[in-house]
Amino acid sequence: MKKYLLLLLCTASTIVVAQDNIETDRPDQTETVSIVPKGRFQAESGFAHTKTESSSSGTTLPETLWKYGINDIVELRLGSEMEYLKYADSSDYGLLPVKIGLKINLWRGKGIIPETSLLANIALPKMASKKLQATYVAPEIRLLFENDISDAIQVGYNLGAEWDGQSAEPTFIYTLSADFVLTKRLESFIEGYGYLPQLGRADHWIDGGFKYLITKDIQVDISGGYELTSHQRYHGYFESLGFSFRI
Amino acid sequence: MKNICLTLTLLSFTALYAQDEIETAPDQYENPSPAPKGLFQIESRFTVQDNGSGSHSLVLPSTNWKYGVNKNLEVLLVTDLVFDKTPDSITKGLQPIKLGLKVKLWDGNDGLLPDAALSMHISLPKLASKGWQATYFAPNLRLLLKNKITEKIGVGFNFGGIWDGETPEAQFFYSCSPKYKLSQKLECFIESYGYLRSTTNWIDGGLMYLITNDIQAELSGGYELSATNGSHSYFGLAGLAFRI
Repeated sequence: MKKYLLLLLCTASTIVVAQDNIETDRPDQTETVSIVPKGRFQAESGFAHTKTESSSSGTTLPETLWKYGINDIVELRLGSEMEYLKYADSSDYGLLPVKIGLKINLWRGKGIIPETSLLANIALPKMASKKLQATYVAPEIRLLFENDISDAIQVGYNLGAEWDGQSAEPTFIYTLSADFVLTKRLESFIEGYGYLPQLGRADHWIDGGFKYLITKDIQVDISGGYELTSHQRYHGYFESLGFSFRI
Repeated sequence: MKNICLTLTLLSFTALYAQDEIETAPDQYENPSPAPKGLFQIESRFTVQDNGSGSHSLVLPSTNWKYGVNKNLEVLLVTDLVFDKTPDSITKGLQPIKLGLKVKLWDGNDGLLPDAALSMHISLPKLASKGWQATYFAPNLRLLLKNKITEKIGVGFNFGGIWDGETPEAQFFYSCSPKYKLSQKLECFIESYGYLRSTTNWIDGGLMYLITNDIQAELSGGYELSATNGSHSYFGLAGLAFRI
């Protein structure tokens, strides 16, 4: 009887821990397999400065992902991104096409079988500032995977494709991120990711950062990335700060 | 002990009942129920279509190969063998193979809340006969909804976007398909569907006959309400669906 009670307690506490802390898609490029708990809102905001060419840069002020847990396996998503784009002789500022989508858990992880979710987004071309509008509705599809290596290490990876609303050519996406639990509140990650247009030239990046839990529902993050490939001998980079909470 | 036995018996009956009859139809609508866990479901359909102005299409056949991964998820492979003849050209062979997933989002209730699922396909541009190859990988996303009105009547809706791997513009698709159970073995449907970019609207209808719970024979026909170059297209279809 004592054994059963202990087992029950252990199981219950695992479940509590699993649902306990906020789990975010930020700050890495790997989207988490976790679904926002049923009936709860979650907002993930980030400010970023990105430079991919010597003559232009982008500042995100901010991007916010709004999520809502519909049930245990489905989350509804809305992504808004305010962007200031600076070119050599001009600039644009405004809202990029708003994205709406779903994340759906396909199965739970077990042993070497990773926990797996499906992410499908649609970017709405006219729900954007005039200068930043796209021409067509653009889809994004990703499969999200996660393996627990130990209590302190998790590996997340994504495979997917996205379209830009201008051309029929997809850009394939891969990410591979290792997360390390440093303390109860602090986690770090290191990640490799890339964008591979079906016919065009691929970009490969690495990034890393930290997440700090202020409470189990509020998280701040800091991260930075560097492009391994180069454009006219210029390697892109970015730095980012984020704030996430759920209610 | 008796109680436990009763519960177990009831449970196993429910499980059997839920998996009871093969669920598919030769309409354009896709239903939100994934293939039962661990079962293969194969749906093969032959179509003869008159596209007007001396153009014909033969589908010989289109086959959906489905497998139920768990109670919420089905993986799918679609192979379409199509012979297409216009006055100037003939294109024949395998169209780009599609890989897909159907994921259940939630179960509906007896009220207004429908059963809902998301269907996602990717067509592989080079896995096709030469004449049918596309340039780019192309997605197809659909929301699948179904309301049960009575034991005999159900109404299904689909909304989605289909990309063709050539142009960036999606073809938006809708379908509304009521079904009526005529007897335990025989069911019929009448459906309205269409494509918004090319503003083509169709109606079709047909019959499904259950040979066993796992094998279904199908007949249907469709007519284009909108006209292309002054002529209305139409088709006839015969199909067989089974699961193992």
